[in-house]
Formats: sequence, structure tokens, C-alpha cells
Amino acid sequence: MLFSLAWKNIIKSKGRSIITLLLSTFTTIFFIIYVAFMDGSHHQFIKSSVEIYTGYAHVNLKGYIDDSSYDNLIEDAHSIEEMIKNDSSIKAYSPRFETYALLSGDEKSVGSMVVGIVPSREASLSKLPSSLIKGEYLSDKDENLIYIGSELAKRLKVDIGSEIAMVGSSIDYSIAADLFTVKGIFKTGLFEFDSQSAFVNKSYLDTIMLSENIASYFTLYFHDNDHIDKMTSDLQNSLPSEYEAASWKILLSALVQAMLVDSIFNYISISIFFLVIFFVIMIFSYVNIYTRAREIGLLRALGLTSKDIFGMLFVEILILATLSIVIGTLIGASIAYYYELNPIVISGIAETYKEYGVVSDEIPMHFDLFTIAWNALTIFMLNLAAILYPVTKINKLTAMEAMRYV
Amino acid sequence: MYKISRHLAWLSIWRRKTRSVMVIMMIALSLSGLLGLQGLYDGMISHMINTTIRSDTGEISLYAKEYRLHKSLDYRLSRTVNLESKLSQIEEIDAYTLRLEQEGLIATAHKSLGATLKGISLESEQRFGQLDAFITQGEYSFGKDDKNALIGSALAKKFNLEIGSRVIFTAQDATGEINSISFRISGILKTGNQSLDEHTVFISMEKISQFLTLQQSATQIALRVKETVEIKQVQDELKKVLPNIDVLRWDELYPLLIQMQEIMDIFNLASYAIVFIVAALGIFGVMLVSVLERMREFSIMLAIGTPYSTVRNQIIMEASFLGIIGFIAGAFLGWLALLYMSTIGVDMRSFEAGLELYGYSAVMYANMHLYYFFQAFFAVFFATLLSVIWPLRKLKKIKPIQVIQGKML
Repeated sequence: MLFSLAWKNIIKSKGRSIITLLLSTFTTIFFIIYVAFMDGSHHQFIKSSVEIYTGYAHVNLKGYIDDSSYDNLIEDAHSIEEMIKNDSSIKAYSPRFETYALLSGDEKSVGSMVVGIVPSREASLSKLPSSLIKGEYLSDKDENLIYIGSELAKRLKVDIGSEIAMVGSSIDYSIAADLFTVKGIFKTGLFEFDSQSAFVNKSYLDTIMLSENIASYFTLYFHDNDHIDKMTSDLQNSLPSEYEAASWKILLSALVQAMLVDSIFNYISISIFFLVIFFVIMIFSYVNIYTRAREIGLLRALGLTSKDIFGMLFVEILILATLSIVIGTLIGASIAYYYELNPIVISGIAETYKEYGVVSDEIPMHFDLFTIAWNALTIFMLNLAAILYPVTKINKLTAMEAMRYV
Repeated sequence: MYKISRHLAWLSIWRRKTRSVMVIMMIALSLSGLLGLQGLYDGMISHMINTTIRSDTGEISLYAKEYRLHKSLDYRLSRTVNLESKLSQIEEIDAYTLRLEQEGLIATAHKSLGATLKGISLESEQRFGQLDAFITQGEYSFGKDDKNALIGSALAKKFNLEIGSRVIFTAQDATGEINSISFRISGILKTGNQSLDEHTVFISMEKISQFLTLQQSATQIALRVKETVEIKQVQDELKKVLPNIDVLRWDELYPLLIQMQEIMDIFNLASYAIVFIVAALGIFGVMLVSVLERMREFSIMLAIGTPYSTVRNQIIMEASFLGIIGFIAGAFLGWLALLYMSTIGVDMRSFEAGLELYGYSAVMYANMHLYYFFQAFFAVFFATLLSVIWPLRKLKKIKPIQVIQGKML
């Protein structure tokens, strides 16, 4: 009975129904797309940082993340490697030895990160091999050949075949120096990374740095990188106590935090919009309910309780809200899904924001059912909340007052 | 005539109190939120601009041609005394400072990193941009005989450096030889300018000149201009006087900052537009109903000879009163929020690392400008006007006699 009454009321008060419907539908679509776009750009940011070089997780000595000096190196890399090799959850891994050294071209010297890598293994762990733009990528048998970032090459004014002198310190703090030939130049798009990183075959760098069987950390790629927290905590349990398994959330904590702050500000901005929507729906419901005050009074006089009236009005908004949420979610979700597969391209954005770590002109949306569900639920609740005050107010009137209401 | 309309309008908005209060609250709350956000975002960006100007570029910076491309000492400003005498002749320049920098490697006993060594004069930096105010630990001094150095906070953190720690800097001098120099840290600086905080070690101009085997040289001369409006004029003047030198404004050196400000402005405008179009819908709902339910009243007024314009004015004024009260309440709330955020600030220190990554300060201060309130007023004004168009059209079409007889509606 309530339902049919409510339905008739919806049909009768077209203006209010249409406005509530349109407003909620558009708000739902807008909210879903807004969040999908925001999350998408955040994911893009983090993903590019993770996949280009850092990797999904590291195994390192406890204390290395805070103080990445020679005091916190993995001293027995082979034994750790054995352990990682036997862990079935890990798909790929590789040791790296990171140090900083002064690199000099013919005219200029620049302080840069120099990393010893196992070239063949990086293909499945980082974008280093695929970011090659000139020359060749390293191979496992290379000796004094170096693979450097495009911006670093520019700063040093070197090209393929040029010689670069390196002065750094080996792990016993004696001076380590050698001459390298540029074998390849890479460009990942991460500006900072491209302007201060160089790579050398680890087995050769080890002879200069005296870092045989020593690594700064192992970088890992799990079979299941989506549940990184579980993966790292499982791994942690199998590691000796002085080692730690750190996921990208810890390795890139500043970046993760920056994205969080950005989300918070975005939600605050959008909440103002919700506030207005809430008021508009409330105003329309209020006006609508009060133009029906006499009718409601009559229903009360005929024996409906205030609970029934509440129920009737609630069902009205429930129908309207459900309808608009369903339509809005379907449209919003399909747009989000479409743009996840076919990212929006804003040409030039990577060039403009390169210093902020923007790598690509493509910004995919992030399609996530859970996010979409809570987005839709928020708008749904907003609708229901908007009607509480008008309904309570009209129910305060007695049947007689309501019937005489002008 | 306006007097009657005004009086009637004022009485009628209070006839339906709840409705009017809802509209006023809607306008006031959304307005105060928009004002608060606008001020906060504006404050975040102008803080970034301000620290960049103070700690690096000034309003205008001079570089030797090509220097910014190669960052090499081969492209440096030489015979700086001559340049300085030219600068001191320009009245609009408030202060200037010379800097000489070279990239290299900074190392402690345990670790090394790429960094920039920058020679400055403490006195002129203080006059230039109160660099001393950025000191977070230690003192603003190079110690006796200029043996000490100041270091950026993020760089200090990477090395776990404390006051009195010793660091070694290795770099190429002007002749191409690789040299090393060592000094103790006397102070730690946190400017909010990433390139300084993460990569820079400051030592005295004399010390670096000696280390790089240079004299009378600088890689950058930054100037402060007294009045913002004179920046362009000073730039043009300098370009004329110093034709062989790059004369660049801060916004040419950091175009991203200006772009962020522009994006923020667009974002603000869009927020205002969206919020107030929706708000107009809310006012419209109330106005429409209040016009419809008083059709008889208006018909009688028209029938006894009240000009349509009086009725129209009454309705416009009803909406305007709602708008104005909403605006005043919203502007007041917004002002309070801005006052709080601009004096006490918003403490976001729990997100410090993330904010610093993009050069924002952890305690944010809002800006407050009069134009925010004008902008807000226009938004409310347009929303109000927009909301009465349709109800007025409805009113215009009625035939008073029929309405009074109850035949229409």
C-alpha cells in the first residue's frame, strides 16, 4: 500500500522527481568519474615509480632504508639469494649494489648514483632494458661499460662510446676509480632518475668497489603483487631477524603519503559540492512535502500513523534514490571502465610536469568495484539523509494542523 | 514603488521561515567552504612562489648566456664588480645577491651523494630574502675563517648529519682538475625549495672562489625588485644595459609555479560555477513554489492596478534578500575560517614527508584577499538572478481574473 501511494506521489510531483533524479544521477556519475580519475592518476604515479626502477619489494638489512650507507649492506648475498630462490611466491629477484660517485665526462663532472645490476635479470624487474633509446643495454659479461640516463648524458655531454671517469669510495672506504665507456643511454621519463643514475654490470663493479657477495638490497617481483602486504609479511617470517622485507608502500612512503594528501584535499573540495546537493534535495523534498501537507493530514485523519507517513515518504525517496544511483552507477562505471582501458591523453603533460614524476601523457582512470560501490552508497545516503528533516517536521504537526496548513 | 516591493519581499521571505533558512544555510555553508578552500589553495601556492623567490631566483635572475643549458663554469658571469656597479644604478632594485655554484659529490666517511656546492654571502642573502629565517638547527654563520657550511635539511637527513659533522665535497674546478674540500656543518636550512633542501651545501663566496680557482665570478645574480609592477620594466632595462646576459624573471625560470596558479584559478572558477549552478536550482525550487502558492495574491495585486513591475521587483527582491543574507553569513563564516587558517595555519605535519616531496610546507597558511569576497558575491548574485527567471515567466503569463476565480492553476 505504502509503495503504491509513494509511486503515485512520484508520478504526480513530476518537478521534484525529475530534479531529484537528475541531480542524484549526475552527482553519482560525476563522483564516480572524479574518484576514478583521481585514483587513476595516483596509481599511474606510483606504478611508474615502482615499475621503472624501485620494484614491488626489497629485502635489505634492517636500518638500510633510513640510513643507506655502507654500514647497512647485506654482507652475505648468496645466502639471502638461496632463501629467496626457495620462496615460491617470488617470481623474479635480483641483487643491486647502489653507490654514489663522481662521474666526469671530458668537460664536466656530476655526482650520480651508480648501481651494479645483474643485467639479464632486470628485464623482468624494472624498465631499465626497455627504456633504451640509444646504443645497447648491458649484458652479463660486460666489463667497464656503463648504461646512463639521458639527462645525465646531457649533463656530462657524453654520447655512445664516450669515456666517463668514475671516482667513488669502495666499501672499505678507500678511493675507487675507474674508466667506463658509455654503452647505452636510457630514458624512463622519470626526470630525476634519468638525470642522476648510471648502471654497470654488478660482477664488474664488485671488483672495483670490493663488493663481491655484497648487495645493498634484493629487488623482488611477486606472482601476486596486488596483495603486497601479505606477500611481504609472509616473506618477513622466513627471513633471519636482522633482515627486512619492505614493500613499495614503505620504500616510496613519501610518494604514497603525497597521494593520500592529494586525495584528502580532493575529497574536501568535492564535499562542498555534496553539501549543496544535499541542501537542494532537502529543499525540494521539503517544498514537495509541505505542498502536500493537507493531503498528509487527511491520511493521518483516516488512520495512518506518523510511522506510516514516514514510511511512505521514505519509500518515495528510496525509489528515486535507487533509480538514480543505479542509472548513475551504470553510466559512471562504464565511463570509468572505458577510460581505464583507453586512457585519456593530455598531450604535453608529461613534459610540463616531468620534475614531479609525471612519466606519460596518458592518464588512465581506475576502475575498482569497491570504490564505485562506496561512491554510489555515499550519494544514496546523502539522498536519504536529505529527507529526514522535512519528514520529521511534517510529522510534528497533528492531523488537524496538517489539514488546515496553508 | 521600490519601498513597497522591498517591504513586501522582506515580509514574505519570513512567512515561510524554514524554507528561507534552508536556502540561506545552503548559500552560507557552501560559500564559506569555497572561500576557505580558495584561500588555502592560494596560500599553498603563493607560499611556494614566495620561498622560491626568497631562496633562489629573486624577482629577476641574471645568468651568463648558455649557463642554464650546460651548468658549466665555462659559462659564468665574470668581472662581477662591473655588473654590481650597473645594478646599483637602477633604483627599483631593492637588493641583489651573487652566487657561484658547482655540481659534485658530497661524502661523509660512510656514504656519498650527488650535490651542489653553492657560494653565497650571508649578509647579502639575509638582506635579499632573509635566508637566516630558514635555519632549523645550528646557526646562520660560516664560523671563524669561513671554515663551516650550511646544508639543506633533506640532504642532512640522508646523511644523518648533525651540527659539527664533517663532510667532504669533491668537484671539478674551473681548470678541470678534480679537487676536494672539507668543512663542518654549522647550520641546517629548510627552505621548502626542493633543489636547495635536497641537493645544496652553502659555503662562503670566498671559500668557493678559492676552491674553484676563480675570481670575481658568479653563476647567478638574483635581484629583488621593490614593487611587483616594476618587474617587467626592470627586466627590460637590464636587458638593454646587459645585452650579453640572460635576464630572466622568476616565472620564466619556474613556469610550473605560474601554471599551478593558473590551474588553481581555473579550478576555483569551475568549483564556483558548479556549486552555484546547483545552488541556483535550490533557490529556484523555493522561489517557484513561493510564487505558485501566491498566484492568487499576485493576481489580486495585479487586478487592483499594481503594475507588473512592482510584483516583479518584489519577487526579485525576495530572492535577493535570501542571496544577500546567505552571502553575508557565508562571507562571515568564510572570513572566520580564513582568519584562522591564515594566522594559526593548518597543521599537516603528520603528512610532512608527502607534502615536502612536492615542495609544500607542512603547516599551511591561507591567503585572504578582498577579491575572493567580490567573486563570491557575483556568484551568489548570478545564482539568485538565474533562479527567478522561470518563476517570473510563469507569473507574466497568468490571467489575473481567471486565477482569482480559481479557474487556473
